[in-house]
Parts: sequence; structure tokens; C-alpha cells
Amino acid sequence: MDVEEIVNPFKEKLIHTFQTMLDFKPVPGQIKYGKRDDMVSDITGTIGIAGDISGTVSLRFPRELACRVSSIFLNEEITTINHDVMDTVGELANIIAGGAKGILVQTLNIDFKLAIPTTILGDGHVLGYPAGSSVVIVPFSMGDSTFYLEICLKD
Amino acid sequence: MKILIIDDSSTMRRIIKNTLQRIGYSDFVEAADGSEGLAALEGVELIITDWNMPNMDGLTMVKTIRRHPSYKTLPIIMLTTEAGREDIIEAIKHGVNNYIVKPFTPEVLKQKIDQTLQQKQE
Ligand SMILES: [Mg+2]
Repeated sequence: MDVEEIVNPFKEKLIHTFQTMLDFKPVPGQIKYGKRDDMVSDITGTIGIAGDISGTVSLRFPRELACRVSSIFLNEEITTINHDVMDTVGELANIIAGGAKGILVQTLNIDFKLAIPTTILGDGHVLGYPAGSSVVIVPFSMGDSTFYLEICLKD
Repeated sequence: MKILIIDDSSTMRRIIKNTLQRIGYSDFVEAADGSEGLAALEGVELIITDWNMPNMDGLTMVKTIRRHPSYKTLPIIMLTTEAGREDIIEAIKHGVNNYIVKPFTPEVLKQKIDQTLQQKQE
């Protein structure tokens, strides 16, 4: 199974979602393979997937960028992490995973179910995974900030 | 017209409500999952519901609503991330009148509401 073929629909859907709902096109960087302890974030929206492929899809932001994204999403000024920011980050993960599922079913006949999104808060955190999982990280830049799309697939 | 907005994401409910207000609607009820939605049906003339929700998902709720004779023709729009063609066919088979795939624009929301209400009149 070519991991990049699986990751691309998530990447595509992320860009499409940001363009449609935030009127901003984030720029994808170089894909990284494997867990990276140097790529930390403060708030993560994560959603479990289970089916032909299983694992998690996460969106990881620094605090300030998560607030900025939520401000645009809700069209109101948000400067500190609150319930709205946590909800926004989880819902974005949900929208991106659901959209990618639609593409994957049609192009590669890969189907899966989505769980309910969860948001994790903690300054400078990384995500841990069970042994034997494959981790793919796509950094995106939005102005001078960076956020990550992180996909973990169980082997 | 009283519109029931069902989504487990509170920000998504707010975005839907803001958009509806901008296009001229003002009477809303909100619910965070399918079972809350079922409890809030009184006087509702249009439902806009999410699919993927905890406790009771949108599709299960739609099936339950359609079993009640008094809600056979109540217009239901499914707002979903599940963009797979089979998912959409399944939703329509079980009584969803129209669907919108997230992420959506205000234009699409307005167009789908107009379409759905017009179909009901025909
Ligand atoms: Mg949902």
C-alpha cells in the first residue's frame, strides 16, 4: 500500500476545507515519515478511523494559530484557547477525515468509519502511538506559523 | 419558519445559525445529537442535521423521525462530511430530502434550503 496515495486525499481535503471555510490556502511542506519529537504543538484535534485502513488523523496547532483559525471560522475575535477553539480544531479534523474518506472510497475503494473527534490541549506536546504504526506528518504554513496534519496508520 | 439545527460541534451549529440569519431566518432550536434532536421536534418546519454525532447519529435519527406518520414530509437536510456516494444514496433512501457536504459556503446552504422547501410545495 502506497502511503502517499492514502495521505494525499487528506492533504487535498485540508486545503479545500481551509479555502472554503477560512478563505485561506495553507501551503503544504515536505512530507515527513515517522514519529518526530521536534514537531510539537499546543492543541490537537484528532479523529479515529477504522475499516480498510485504521488509525488516527490529527490536526496539530500552536496556540496562537488555533485561535486565529477559530476567529476566522466563527467570524469573531478569539485570543485565548476556549471551548470554541477546542471544538473548531476537532470539527476541522472531522471534516477533513470525512472528505478524504469520500475520495478514497471512489479512487482506491478504501472505506472506513469515523469516530467522534477529540481535542487534546497541552503546551508543546507530541503524540504517541502503538509500536508498529506508520506515522506521516505533513507540515502546512499559514503566514509565519506552521501546523501539522499527522496521520497514524496501524500496520 | 422554525429550523432545528443538529450538530455535535457547537461551533458548527453557530456557523449554520449565523449563515441562516444572514439569509433571513430567525427562529432556531439547537440539539447536539440525534436523541436531543428527537426531543426538540415540536413545531419544527425544517431540520438541518449532521451525520456523525455521539449517542445517536443523524441517519438513525432520520429513520426514527420517518417512522412517525406526522413527520413523514418534514423537510430534512443532511449536512455531512461523509461525501461517499453510497453514504448519500443511503441517506436519501432513508428519508433525507437533500444533503450538503462539509465544508460548505453560505451560497450552497441557501440554495439547498430553497430547493428543499420548493420540493415540499410541489
Ligand atoms: Mg459531527
